Amino acid sequence: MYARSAAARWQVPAERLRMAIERSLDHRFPGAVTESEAAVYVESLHLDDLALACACIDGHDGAWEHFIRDLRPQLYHAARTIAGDDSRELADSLYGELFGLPGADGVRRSLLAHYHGRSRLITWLRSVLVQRHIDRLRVTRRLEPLEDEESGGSPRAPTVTADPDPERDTLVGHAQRALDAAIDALEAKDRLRLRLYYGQDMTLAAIGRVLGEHEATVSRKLDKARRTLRTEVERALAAQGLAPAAVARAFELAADAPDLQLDRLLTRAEDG
Amino acid sequence: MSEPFDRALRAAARRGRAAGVCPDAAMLASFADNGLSADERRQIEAHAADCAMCMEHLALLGAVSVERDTPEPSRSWFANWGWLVPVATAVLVVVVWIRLPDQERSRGIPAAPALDSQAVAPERESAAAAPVETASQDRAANQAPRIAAKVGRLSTAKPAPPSETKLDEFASHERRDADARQKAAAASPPPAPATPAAAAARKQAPENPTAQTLGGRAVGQASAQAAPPAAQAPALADAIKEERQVAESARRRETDLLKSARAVSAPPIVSASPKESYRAAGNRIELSEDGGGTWRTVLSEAPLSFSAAACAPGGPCWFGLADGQVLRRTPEGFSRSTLPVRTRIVAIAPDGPQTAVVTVESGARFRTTDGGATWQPIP
Repeated sequence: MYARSAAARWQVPAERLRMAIERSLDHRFPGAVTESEAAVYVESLHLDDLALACACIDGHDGAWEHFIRDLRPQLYHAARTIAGDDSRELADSLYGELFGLPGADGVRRSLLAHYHGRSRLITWLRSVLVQRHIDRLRVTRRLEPLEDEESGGSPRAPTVTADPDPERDTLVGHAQRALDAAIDALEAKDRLRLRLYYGQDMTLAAIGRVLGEHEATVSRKLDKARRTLRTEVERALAAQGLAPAAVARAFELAADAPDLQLDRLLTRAEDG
Repeated sequence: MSEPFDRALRAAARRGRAAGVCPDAAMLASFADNGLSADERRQIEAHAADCAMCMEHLALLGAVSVERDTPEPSRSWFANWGWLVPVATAVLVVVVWIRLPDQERSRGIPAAPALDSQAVAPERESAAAAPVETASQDRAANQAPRIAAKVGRLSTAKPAPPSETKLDEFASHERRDADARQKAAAASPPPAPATPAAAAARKQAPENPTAQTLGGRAVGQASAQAAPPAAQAPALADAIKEERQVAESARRRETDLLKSARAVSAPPIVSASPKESYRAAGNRIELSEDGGGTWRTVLSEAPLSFSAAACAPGGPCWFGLADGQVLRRTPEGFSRSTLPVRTRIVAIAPDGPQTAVVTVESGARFRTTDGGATWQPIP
């Protein structure tokens, strides 16, 4: 196991690696764990990356040099991909934490201490980076000032209440509820695949990579889920008494309706 | 009718759902790398399928991973059939060779590959007799010096990091940084290369309040010892500037954290009373009611882990999770709340039974005055 980790390259002692593995095991199995479970788990770990992380935490110059040469450029590249102009600050911030900040007790703590070897180190770095980016976006969105309604600065979209079509709300409500129910009835993995493709605009290849599936498999299962959904939704709308022409119109309206429409309709239905 | 249906489906797929506790970044990374057990994988799939935030996370993770690790498979016809180009070229060369008159062959065109053929190109009496070969040889003659130059560079240069295949401003910056280190390493007296010196400067930076000065000085000393030539000075200056920026960034974050005065980062043990102590160990909270003699687990939050804990004197204890959740322990039991940001909590400072301030790892702080029911950002 020590040889597989190549920990000797960074002069990481076997005892140090053993402690890291035990910490990873403890993190994964907080309670009791059987020997076979532990063996399977340890076998699945990315020990080479875990050894590199240990060496970096311990301040090994060669390990940091390797990190700077091989991983840091990828980290900054990923930051640039997801954050654009803010990427430098995002990546610098994370890089500083990876090197480590002193805690209240003066001991330097590296973010790498939270790496347990369950994924490749670069994937973990990217994931942490993505998390930071999302958190920043959420903070920014929350802190954005609301427009003053009295100022009348930018033109606003017409409100739903101004819609002259009396059937619109009903049709949209039927379509959205039927779609949501049909999506909820899918298997979790089908639902995830569907939301990643339609909701996040991911490519088939990217979905396949995240879910560990071949691109063709993703395509085939998406197509199957879509057909199932359509059948279910059309059946549900027909059960509501909608003619085929009304079903088609409901889809058109639901495609352009704001998300809040459903909540408003549900509230109205409950009130009524 | 399919287009409106697809657009309606797209709108529906974008509507998020409340989905409970989100897995942390490490779990999602393991999910993407297929490093989870079947049960864990099913749990994450079930959660992420209804969680807009986790889907966004996976989408971004998929985008950056695909781009770097495995280039998107090209959908173009040329790329898919690109292997035909060298095969067709080889077939063409063989056909031309077979159709050449024997005397042309015996005149000295070698049977060796194209690169050697440039040596006999001037010996040709008539280029028109074999235009294909002539053109081929001309190309070979033009390419050969370039190939040789490339080979020469490859044989003398160190292997380039994989990141250099796609040059961008960050990659080039990193390369300048690495080059500066290598040059300084080559110039400094053995066995102390410049990279460890730079790393040492970097190491000192976060550990010392005067990090920026020390970091710069250490690199400066290394460069002074090495007495680099004038041509290396800009690269080294870039390296120093880079180190200072990193150190400054780390120092700012350290200052922000220290500003949260009474906050304590993930203490091993927090005491609610002389006998009652808690410790946040991995993903569980343990309680000791005998002054730390024995411990028992009172709460487990797998797959998340606790990242901070603190107890108010005589009041409740607070525990921060890696995903921005806060647990409050009172004699009645645990209650849970969530910060406006889903990020790791690094410190908690309780201030009375209902009030506490938490600091997340980005440096942002939030306060509750109602026992965690609501959290307000502190400007």
